[in-house]
Amino acid sequence: MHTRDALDVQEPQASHPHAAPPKRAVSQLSRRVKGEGSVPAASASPPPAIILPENCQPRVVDADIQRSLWALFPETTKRMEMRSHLKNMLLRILAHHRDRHYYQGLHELMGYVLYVMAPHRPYEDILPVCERLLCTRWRSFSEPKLANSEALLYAMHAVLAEEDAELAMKLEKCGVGPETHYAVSWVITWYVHCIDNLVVLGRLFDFFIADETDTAVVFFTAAFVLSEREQLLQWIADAEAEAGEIGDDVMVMARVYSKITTLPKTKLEHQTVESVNRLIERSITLRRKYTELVQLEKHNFLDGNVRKLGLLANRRTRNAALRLLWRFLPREWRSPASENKRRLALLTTGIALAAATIAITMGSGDKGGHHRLS
Amino acid sequence: MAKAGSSPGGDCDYIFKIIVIGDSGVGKSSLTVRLSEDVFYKDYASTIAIDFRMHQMQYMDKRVRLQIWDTAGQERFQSVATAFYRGANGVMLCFDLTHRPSFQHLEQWVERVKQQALPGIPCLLIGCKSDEARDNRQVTNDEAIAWAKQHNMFFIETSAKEKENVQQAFQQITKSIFEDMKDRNGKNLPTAREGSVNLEGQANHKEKKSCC
Repeated sequence: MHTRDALDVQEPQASHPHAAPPKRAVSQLSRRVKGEGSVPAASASPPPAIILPENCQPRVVDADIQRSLWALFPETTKRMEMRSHLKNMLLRILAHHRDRHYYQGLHELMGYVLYVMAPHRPYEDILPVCERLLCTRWRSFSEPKLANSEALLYAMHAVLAEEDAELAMKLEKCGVGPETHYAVSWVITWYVHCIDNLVVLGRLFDFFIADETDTAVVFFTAAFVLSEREQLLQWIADAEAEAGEIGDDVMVMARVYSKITTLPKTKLEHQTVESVNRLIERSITLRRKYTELVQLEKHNFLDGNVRKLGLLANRRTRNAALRLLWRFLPREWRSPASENKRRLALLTTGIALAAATIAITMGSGDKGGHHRLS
Repeated sequence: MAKAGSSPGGDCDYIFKIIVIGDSGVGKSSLTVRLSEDVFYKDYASTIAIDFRMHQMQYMDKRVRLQIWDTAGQERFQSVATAFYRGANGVMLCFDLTHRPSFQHLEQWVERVKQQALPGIPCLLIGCKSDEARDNRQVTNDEAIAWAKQHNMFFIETSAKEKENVQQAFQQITKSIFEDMKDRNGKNLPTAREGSVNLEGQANHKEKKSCC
């Protein structure tokens, strides 16, 4: 394994978001990659140091690359070669698109594309595919701040709340709302980080790539969480029962959080293509119903209109919570008169009753006063 | 993945929430996985956002359950970690003994702890990868100890790969938390769970210490 001493790039000296485009970095990286066809980078003579722009985060990239592609390329020599390609691909694309920022997880997305395409296409053909995906489907994930990704989690939770208010509220009540980011690694890596089943991943990538927005993963995640409703409610009940013995809410949150984060590995990993297709069908239904909602929630979050607190802090989820409370009301209270005549009759009766009550009260008051005077 | 829930409820006297922080790739996850699962994965992937692990241990005659929040090292995920600083009882500040920049970045990490965590929260400095440091050490033991002393914390070198000092590191942070409780309460260790560390980090913290 190569060490960080083998780093062939330097970190930026300072933050220069508006500095000149790094043409030198791109061209030198390009030259080096062309020479890597037969010789892995690790064994090549060290090239001159290159200053990369800050958005590339070469130190983090290097640490991530050293821990990448284990499952996709189990053979050591091949894995080292592919890591070299992956690193160069990441840095070349990011150096060329300085408005896109490296995030931990991007290396896994590009690593999967590399794995799928490498047997069929030359490396130089794979790079523009990843570049295009970064600028379109992975755009929200690679913004300078995490907020755009967080917005997707809040939007996903809003879909949950609309579809299953009880589940959304119970998750929030036990402290596992969107603010815990329990699904962030699912969403920003398109599940590559969480599952190893290449058939499932292939199907998911097809669905996510075909979607013209970057929200297919939001609807899929909502559909997936909804499909595990019974399991989730059971986990919450178990955690609360356990906490009942020691009276610890933080423990409930930790228990449920630790369970929910394993859902892709324990459930999605073992699904057949047919069951994944059913989830995708449900995702499409959700997309049809909630496209506007998701866009609204994203913007609400980014505009700071959603406090990171929970159900009642958000208009959409608050409505869902109120709907849930509504369901607990007695049936006759929940059925407002639908016909105008009935509504009018009720109103008239109400006014008459109120008037009678006032009259009786005033009458008894007069009598009392009279008695006192006499 | 974390092996969570290694023990049933109702069988512990204390629950401590510990945050593990430090640069990407220094070995935070390997350290916590070695503790919670007693294994070392050479093919461990990068942590994204935050991972949760649990460990039940004995400290003196007390049964202690550690909730360990293993954070991602990248700056952009620190907003996620911030939510988990609240109510933390201890911080494990990790760097890589074979990578000097991760040591030089400690000041930034300790500054974040000051901003986000409870004032005076017990911290432990951990030099990871002591096995690799035998051939490629970039931070001496003396300078790490000096840095830790300057910031009022202990220092320990660990190797998750060789299972070296991992248990001891978590024992040490547990000890520091108990001592912190004792300092804050101004009395001997409580014997019942009712007197345990306030998990929300609200009560029993009137004093402010200079530690990180």
